[in-house]
Amino acid sequence: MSLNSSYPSVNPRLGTSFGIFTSAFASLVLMLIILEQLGLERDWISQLIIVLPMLFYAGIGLLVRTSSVEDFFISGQRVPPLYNGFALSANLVSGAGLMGLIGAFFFIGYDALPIALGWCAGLGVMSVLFAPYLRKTGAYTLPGFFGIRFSSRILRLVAALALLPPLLMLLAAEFRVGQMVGSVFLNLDRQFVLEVGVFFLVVTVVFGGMRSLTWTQCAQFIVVVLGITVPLIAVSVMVTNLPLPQLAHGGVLNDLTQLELAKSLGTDQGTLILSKALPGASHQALTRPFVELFGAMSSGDFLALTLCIALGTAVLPTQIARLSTPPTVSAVRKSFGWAALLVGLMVLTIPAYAAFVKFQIAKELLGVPLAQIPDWGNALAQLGLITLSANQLDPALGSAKVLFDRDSVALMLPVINGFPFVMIGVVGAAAVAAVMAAAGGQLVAMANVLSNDVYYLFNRSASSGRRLLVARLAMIGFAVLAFSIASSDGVDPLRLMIWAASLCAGTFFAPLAMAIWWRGLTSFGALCGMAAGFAATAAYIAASASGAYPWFGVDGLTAGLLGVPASALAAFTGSLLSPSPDAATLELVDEMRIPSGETVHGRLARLAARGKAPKP
Amino acid sequence: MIDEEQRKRHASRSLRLVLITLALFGFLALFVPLIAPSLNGSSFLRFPLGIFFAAQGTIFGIIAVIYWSAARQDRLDRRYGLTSEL
Repeated sequence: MSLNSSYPSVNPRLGTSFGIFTSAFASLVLMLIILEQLGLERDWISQLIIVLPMLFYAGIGLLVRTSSVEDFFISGQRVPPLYNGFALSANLVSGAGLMGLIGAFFFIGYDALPIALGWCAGLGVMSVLFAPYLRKTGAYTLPGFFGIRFSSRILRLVAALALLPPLLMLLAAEFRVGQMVGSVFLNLDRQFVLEVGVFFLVVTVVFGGMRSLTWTQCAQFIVVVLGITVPLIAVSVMVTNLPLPQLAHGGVLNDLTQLELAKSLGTDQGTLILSKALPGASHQALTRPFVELFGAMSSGDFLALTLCIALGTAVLPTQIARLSTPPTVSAVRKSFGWAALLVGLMVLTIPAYAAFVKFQIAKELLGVPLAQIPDWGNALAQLGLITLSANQLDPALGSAKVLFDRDSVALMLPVINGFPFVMIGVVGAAAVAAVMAAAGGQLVAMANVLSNDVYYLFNRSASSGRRLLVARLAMIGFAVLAFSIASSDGVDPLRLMIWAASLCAGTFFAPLAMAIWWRGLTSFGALCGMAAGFAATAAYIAASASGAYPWFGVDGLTAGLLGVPASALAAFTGSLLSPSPDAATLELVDEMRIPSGETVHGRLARLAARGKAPKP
Repeated sequence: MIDEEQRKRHASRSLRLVLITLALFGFLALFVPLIAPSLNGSSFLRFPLGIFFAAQGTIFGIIAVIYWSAARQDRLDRRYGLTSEL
């Protein structure tokens, strides 16, 4: 019996702490509602509701400092399943995902479903195909797993380099959404809003690494769930008299369909190719009916997008970095159960949210002349969430032209329903929390990879202090890099997210699945697979961006679907061409399947301490 | 520790469970949305039935399959004495 196989001690007051946090957030909202009635200015309200929670997250980051390698990289391997589930769902839903998906449902209705289905299916695929075995290996990162499985430094380095571009894309997407939401509430220069946000983000993770990330992500996901569901439940009670919007919006869908027919909103343009069918980041008009499957995109594209998101989610590096944090293999499975419940809740809520917004927009704002639009229409325009212009043919009687911004659709719900201004701030705080949670996860994942799989790989004698210093500097460096990507023009968060999923799927899915499930995969084979998958996916994305004709009808967004077979084929051929794996490696593959006992990483570290094996 | 033959049996049973689970995910996430439009004639909770299956049913299904599969795998591990749970 080794030390690792017993439960490390867990703080017994975790539940109390998060209970206190939740009630503190609720009382902040209630207090601001009272102050708003008493006449507090809107500027103050919006600053308090956005900035106070951010100060709190930064406070967690400052309190949970650590100088231990285990704590910094894998949160000391003692995160209970429920809290790991919170962190997994915060990584997956993410700010770009939350705001982008609500917007996508708003514009193309149920054709936005592939992203939601892909998230859930990907979570499930990861939980059965990868998670228990990666956890048993005990590696800190995805490249670390390849390093242990194949005892190969070059493979570990290649995996580390291939993993950084998709994570940077995801981080830039988060920053972009955070900047958009922040500048609706804070009356400051857009660039300055982003700088402040990035500063707070770095403070939350730079001192405690994975450990402070775990606890901030839990707090942030609580804010996300409350901020999205509470306003929606209020609207649901007002419209349908039922407090369960996820199941009660069936009637709203019927009314919405009637309205769309009456106002001829769903003018049929036929299906478009996937990259045209998904709404873009610029302000645009509503042209698609809500209740329709395969209306905006063909069923083939629908399935391709589902599959691509699912495969990408299944190997998402931010999630893999979280697999080593719970105490046992069984706890990892339980944390996937919790994550599935929480992501499922969000994914059931998001279409309902979009349906209620679209119903109210279609009912009162669309098809009305500019002079007669309701007050909240002008309020939306003032906040910059929509663009209003008069009908060019007949300004007095013709219906006004309304353009919507995809990523801020979620912010419209409280405005439309005339809620106190604080409630708009609550939705904004939820979006900011989702952005910070996911961005923190991506920052920590990248820093862990750079410190463990690049720096430590070449400096085996580095002290733990040096390793942490490198990780901390890496966080700051990557934050600055993603900041400059996000500041460039024409960045579309939703597309960045899908491209990143494509890259992850194309590069890592086949090599990882084969490394776990096929004993014959060699180090050279895995190297070929990763290189071929990354090259094929990246080249196809680049080619389709410059307007090349699609191969096999695969859209540029789902390029990962070409990357997966390419990498599987290359990995298979490479394995056949190289000498078959030695007995020690085969033994290691068998050991990976046994869910009990200490981790492979733990065993190797113990042997290395006695000078009998190289350091893992 | 367990002997070689038992380890192999545990591995093959785990593999079978994984394949069944993956097939269920594939059915729920890929097949159900594909046939959904043909079900839209009838309705459930005032949702068109196909939309309900595609948007709500599949999500509930995937969550259920994740729990079912994790419980089965835990039971399998316990039966072969391969668990670290206390």
